[in-house]
Amino acid sequence: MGKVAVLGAGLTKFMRRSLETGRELCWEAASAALREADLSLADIDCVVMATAPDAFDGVHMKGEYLLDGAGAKGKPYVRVYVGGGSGVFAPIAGWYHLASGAFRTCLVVAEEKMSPTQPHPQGAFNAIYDQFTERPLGVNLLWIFSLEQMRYMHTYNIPLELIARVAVKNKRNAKDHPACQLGGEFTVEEVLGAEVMSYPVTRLMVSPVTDGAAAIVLANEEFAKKKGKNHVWVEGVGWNLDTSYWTNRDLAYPEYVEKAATMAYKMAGITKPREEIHVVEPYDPFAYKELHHLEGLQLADKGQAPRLLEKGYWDRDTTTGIPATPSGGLLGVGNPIAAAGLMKVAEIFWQLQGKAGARQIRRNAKRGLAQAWGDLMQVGTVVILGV
Amino acid sequence: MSTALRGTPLREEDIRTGKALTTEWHGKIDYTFDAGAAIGQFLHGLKDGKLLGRKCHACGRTMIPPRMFCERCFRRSDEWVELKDSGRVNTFSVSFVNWDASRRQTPQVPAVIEIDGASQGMGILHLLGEVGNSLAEVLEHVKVGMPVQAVWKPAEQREGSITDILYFRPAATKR
Amino acid sequence: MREYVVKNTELKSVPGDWGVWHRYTYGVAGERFFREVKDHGRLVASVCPQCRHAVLPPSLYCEDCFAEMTEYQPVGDVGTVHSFTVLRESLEETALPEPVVAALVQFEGVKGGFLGALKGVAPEQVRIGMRVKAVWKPPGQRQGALSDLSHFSPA
Repeated sequence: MGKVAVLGAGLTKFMRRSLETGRELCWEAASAALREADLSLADIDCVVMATAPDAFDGVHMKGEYLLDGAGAKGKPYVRVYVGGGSGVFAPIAGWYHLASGAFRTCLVVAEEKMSPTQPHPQGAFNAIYDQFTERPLGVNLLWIFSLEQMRYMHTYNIPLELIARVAVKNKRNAKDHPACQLGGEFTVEEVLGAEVMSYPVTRLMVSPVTDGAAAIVLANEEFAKKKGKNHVWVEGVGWNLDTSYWTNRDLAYPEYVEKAATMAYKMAGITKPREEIHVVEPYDPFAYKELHHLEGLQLADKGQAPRLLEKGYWDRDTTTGIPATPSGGLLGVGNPIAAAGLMKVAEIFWQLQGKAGARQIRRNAKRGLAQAWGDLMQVGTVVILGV
Repeated sequence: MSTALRGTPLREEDIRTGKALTTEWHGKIDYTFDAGAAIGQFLHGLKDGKLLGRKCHACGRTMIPPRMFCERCFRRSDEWVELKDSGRVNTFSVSFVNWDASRRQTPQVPAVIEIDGASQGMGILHLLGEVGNSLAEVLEHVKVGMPVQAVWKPAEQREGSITDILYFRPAATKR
Repeated sequence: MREYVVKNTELKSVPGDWGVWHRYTYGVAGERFFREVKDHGRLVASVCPQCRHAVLPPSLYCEDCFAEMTEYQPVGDVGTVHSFTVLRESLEETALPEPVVAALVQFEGVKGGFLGALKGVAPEQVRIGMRVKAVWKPPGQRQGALSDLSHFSPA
């Protein structure tokens, strides 16, 4: 399989509601990525799009609707879909377009415009539940996450204060992110004392509704070598899905993330992730989920990620631990469902290049990992980048 | 990364005052879902006041919700099993939010309940009842692992729906 | 596979719906387009600085070369019928009170076109290539919506 490099990345602001249509958001992010890669649309051989439920933008066949804004007119194009996991799956699909030898360059775009959904985008998620055995109960989206969080906390005896700390860390990190929607300084007490949505989840422990887009440019080795040296390479990819019978699963541990990570580590030749991964962007739509995922990624023992958080192990400026979510993540920057994961991949890219500005981590990083999650809490998608 | 990211944020009042034009679509999208063989029978079982599971002879699991195929062995499942209408709380939450993000005054208490008679870890989603009307009360009465018992609608009101069970209550509670 | 349920009248079906509706912003280009429609009762196209073509409906970016389009030009009300169809039934398959001619109208020097009802001509008389003119609602009735362009009529 051929080697694949990342040449550039671009983002829009992450906003509660944008004037821009979904197509315009795609173009804004895609053209920014091309600019950074110093390429034009004519240099792009194929396009991969990630965008989650059509119900948000309110446009049927959303992949097709967006393609003009993603530069895909007249090109080989495909939309990939694994819910919130799509933002990290899209670069994986871009990777195999190139690693197979079929194309030289790929533009990967991820977009979500949630604001059109009325009365509230949360309502569109109701259809995630089984129409026979669950919806008639009067479900709402937050139940599945709060149920998972409660099981995780109970199984490993994790106090809510430690979970709240993830929100504090990520919202603080997000202050330095130009796309940021919800960054700021918060205390643990403020996070715990915020409005209870579905206990144990409070308003400050959940990511917002967001419109936004992200894009990256991938190239094969031959093409990349003509565009300069010292590239960032895709070293490992992995993805895995668990059963949709979510009430039959062990909710305390994300096995699908472990399997996706194992696949990626194997491809990257990584045998000691805790030593060989230097920076990580785990998916953080809820405060507890970052910890849940760090454990699934094998970067902490089961139930131990919160204890390490307490010791500063995941802080952005750590020199002895692994900085986690230096971007500020979904909790701080925002959560346009499919685009958030690609934002995390872009962050790892910039961190490895030393281009993260005020968000630059202190320790020297040669390899980083970005991970996303979604669907019915069932998909793990992992990308490992390295220099 | 360029520090000047594009994007034109709007506030709700920009739309209300017509500063930004919008158009609406109220599509009427209705469905009639055919229940299928397994769930069809499951719903009939609910009407009769029973919880039904399906057993796979290859892996030995008794599964609820029932399915005509075992997804692990990838073969047809083998027999119907009548389960108990009691179980244990695997996890629960206390929700103050409706499906459309509007606020509730009194909470709903959703839970995953592992059903007695099914294999370990086989849970279903349902609601807990008779556990209190405030966060503090619910947290006092509900514990992960506690035994619960289904409370059914009277037979003549049952329709063949998951709501034929009104909720599960703590098994120790006397009515 | 043997179905447990023998009588198909006993086969369970459960109703459901989606429950949400949608409110769409027009976008950067669309906002400009519909402001022109509302305030001036005219169509505008956007112009690509590289390809030098004018595009209707206007777009923020050129889908061919990806350049940003910031230049707009008015499009006159007179165009030609590029294609058309005659609708005689509603979506619910009931007869329409009168047949409706839906025409895709193109304009000189502009890529793309506009879909609208063509009135004032019998369906049998409609020809591809015939010249038609946009008929606008009066200023007080325009809202910045597609319906502000009431219909096309023979020019």
